[in-house]
Amino acid sequence: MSIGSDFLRKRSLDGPAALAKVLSGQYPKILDRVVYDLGSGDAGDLPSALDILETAATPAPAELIPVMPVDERSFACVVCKERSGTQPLDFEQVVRWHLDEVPEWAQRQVLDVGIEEYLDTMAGDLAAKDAGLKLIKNIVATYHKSHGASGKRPRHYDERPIRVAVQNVIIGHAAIRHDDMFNGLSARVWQSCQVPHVATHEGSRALAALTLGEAFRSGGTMEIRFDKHPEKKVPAVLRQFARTRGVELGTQDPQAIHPAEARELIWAVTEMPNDLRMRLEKLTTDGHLAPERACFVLLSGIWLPIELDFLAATSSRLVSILRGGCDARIRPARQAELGMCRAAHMLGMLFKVLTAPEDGASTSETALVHEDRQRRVTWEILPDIGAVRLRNERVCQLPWMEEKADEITMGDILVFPRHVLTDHDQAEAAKAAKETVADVLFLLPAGEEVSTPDSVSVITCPDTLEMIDRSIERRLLASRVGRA
Amino acid sequence: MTIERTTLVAIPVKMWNREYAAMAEQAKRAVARYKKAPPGDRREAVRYEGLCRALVRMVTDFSRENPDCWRWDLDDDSIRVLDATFEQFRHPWSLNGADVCKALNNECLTGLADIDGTTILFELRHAFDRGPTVIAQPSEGNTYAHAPSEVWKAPDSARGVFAAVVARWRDQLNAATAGSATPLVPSGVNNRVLCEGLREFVAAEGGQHPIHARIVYRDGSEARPFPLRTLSIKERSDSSLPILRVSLMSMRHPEMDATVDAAWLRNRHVSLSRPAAETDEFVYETSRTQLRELCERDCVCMHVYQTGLEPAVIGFYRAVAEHLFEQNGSIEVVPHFHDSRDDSYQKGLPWATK
Repeated sequence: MSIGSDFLRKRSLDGPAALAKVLSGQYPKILDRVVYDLGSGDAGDLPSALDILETAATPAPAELIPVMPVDERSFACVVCKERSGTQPLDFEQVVRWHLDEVPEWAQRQVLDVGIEEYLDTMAGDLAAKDAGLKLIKNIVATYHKSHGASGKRPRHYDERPIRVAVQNVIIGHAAIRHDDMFNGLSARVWQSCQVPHVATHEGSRALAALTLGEAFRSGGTMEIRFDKHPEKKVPAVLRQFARTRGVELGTQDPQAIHPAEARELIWAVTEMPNDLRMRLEKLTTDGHLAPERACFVLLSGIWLPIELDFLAATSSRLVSILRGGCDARIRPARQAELGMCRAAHMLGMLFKVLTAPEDGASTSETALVHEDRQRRVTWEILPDIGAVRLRNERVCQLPWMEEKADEITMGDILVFPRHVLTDHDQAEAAKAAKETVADVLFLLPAGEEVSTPDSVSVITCPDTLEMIDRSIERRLLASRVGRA
Repeated sequence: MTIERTTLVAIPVKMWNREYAAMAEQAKRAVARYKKAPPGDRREAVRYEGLCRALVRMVTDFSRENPDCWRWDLDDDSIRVLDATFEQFRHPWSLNGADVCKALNNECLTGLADIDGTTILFELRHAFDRGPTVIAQPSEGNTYAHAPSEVWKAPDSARGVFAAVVARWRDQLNAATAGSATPLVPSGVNNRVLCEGLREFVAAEGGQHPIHARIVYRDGSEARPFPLRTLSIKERSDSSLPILRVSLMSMRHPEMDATVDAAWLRNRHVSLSRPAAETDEFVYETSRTQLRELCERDCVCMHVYQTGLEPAVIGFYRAVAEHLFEQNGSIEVVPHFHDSRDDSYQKGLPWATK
């Protein structure tokens, strides 16, 4: 019996065979002094790591065995099974355990599907780390001379560095350019890391989203090649992140993300709620929309997820809207499209206000951080009546109320966003007010005078119809001239 | 999913003339100007929308303040019939009661047929009625559910990016002439490569049939197809023809003004923020008209000094190819390509038919 198996037996745990090997000292040599094992003097101290885990803000369950630190405030742990207990759903996976207090959703996030894959990834990443850092430093200096200092915009074939930073900490960087030699994107540098205050794999996800968005925008085949990357293949951390989302990269060519893999990956990295994902999947499988285009609309921020969800759920004109809208002279169709877009725009504004941090801080971060101070608001579109149910996990004052300001707080509300109220809308809202426990509200543009049933309140978006239309015109133009 | 509903509101003619007609007239004029404006110039469209928005608001207020006024609600099916029957480009006030009744053949529209002459029908389209709207399936050839792209690699013989772009453009042209539906993507292709590749593949030898190749730009917009294998091209231009020197676009290189006789296109009409396919269409339409007018007098040899805006090059040479196909030998075009290394122009092979 190996020293590793003996250790697990003493703790009454069943774990993957690979864990016993690792604990006995069988792992890539480059990870000496990093991996906790029981067999060599160079290894980190496993008993001390276990002690630290017990003193974490949330003590780690006994079934987690630390294998190495992720960063200075979290450990990578293999999920084992207690002999007397049931098998955890994430058995054999490598998860992250934070020592500090983090939100419940952020604890025990999956780092990799298995211990071998995890250590191979760490070894590959570590081996190329210094070369990558040196390379990006040179690329940044060159780019600053050629473009940064003069403010010149790079052409699609110019190599440009990109960085993802959260709260002044860089969590990912890459150097990318469109390469005409294969009509795709070439990445000479692509590195990301985990830091204590950011959710697991957020560096990889955000950087992958930027890379894929650029691959789509530059109009090539969506192939992304890493021939010139220090690892000479699809970076280990990117493959690891994709693996945790069920996407295998580099299967057709180890040095490249194939266009088919890129399509799967762009779906995985584009953040959207499940309802919207299902709606977009239906549209793409029916041939209304290319999957990359659907994701790019969100990644480029032309429409927010709640806006796109509302349009996809309630309008048969979504495809036309995403192509830039119909001709202004086809007036009836244009009226209907504008009606939808105005409602979506007001809803997006309301959502931004409702989710704004309580201390008024910026909400422009694209990566999910643990100490996110944004209010968590969920939505559900009710397609048949063109309304949205918004739920806030914390009750707060509802914005934009002119009347009854003290009576309604934001807990559970049903919003009918409309640029004009019809008798039909009023009847639907009054009916909904009788049937639901949520507060029912009309969301209207500024300057529109209406009378509503007593059971329905009104919140007034600060934008007038003219201002809303100008914003819609900009979005439609962006849809026409970009690839969105 | 919600469905759309149209409400037709009857406004007495006297009231219309007094309160609405002036604004409607302005809107009509804005549309007329929008029609004349180059594609992508949205100023008149925005003006038209603003006026229509104001009219819709006034009619909505009128309808609310006069609950007894005549109005008719049309459901989703009726709207489809209406849109299929009447002109697509229509003002909200241009429907006629009798025609609507005839088109819809609906007896429930009481009084609608009798209102003509005394009232104006105003069309209000609401987007949020309860009901299941089905998104029509895209027709074959108009679907966006394409498979992921195939990977492409420059041949080993291609040394450098320029050679790779040449190889890619030729691969696309070869595939198009072989009958593949894969489109030509001119974006990012060098001016000279673009033009000479097209010239080579426009040329038809005995027994070759015309092919209409799809053109898709990097922004995703698709332009009118390009006719390949349609012309019997000759290698030299006729030196006896009078020469007309034009720059393809004004204001690209003002220092060239001393060399050229005219500019073929106005830069301010071409360089607008719009889909590349619209720019292509504008250049094509303008060039077709101008080529026709130019050839009404005499055959000339046109020396075209061009820089590399791809939609302009594609649109212009599509017009030249179609013009020569219809009027064989009526004009000769000799491209001159801008060389940014020494800011000079290099003469290309002529687009001239035997």
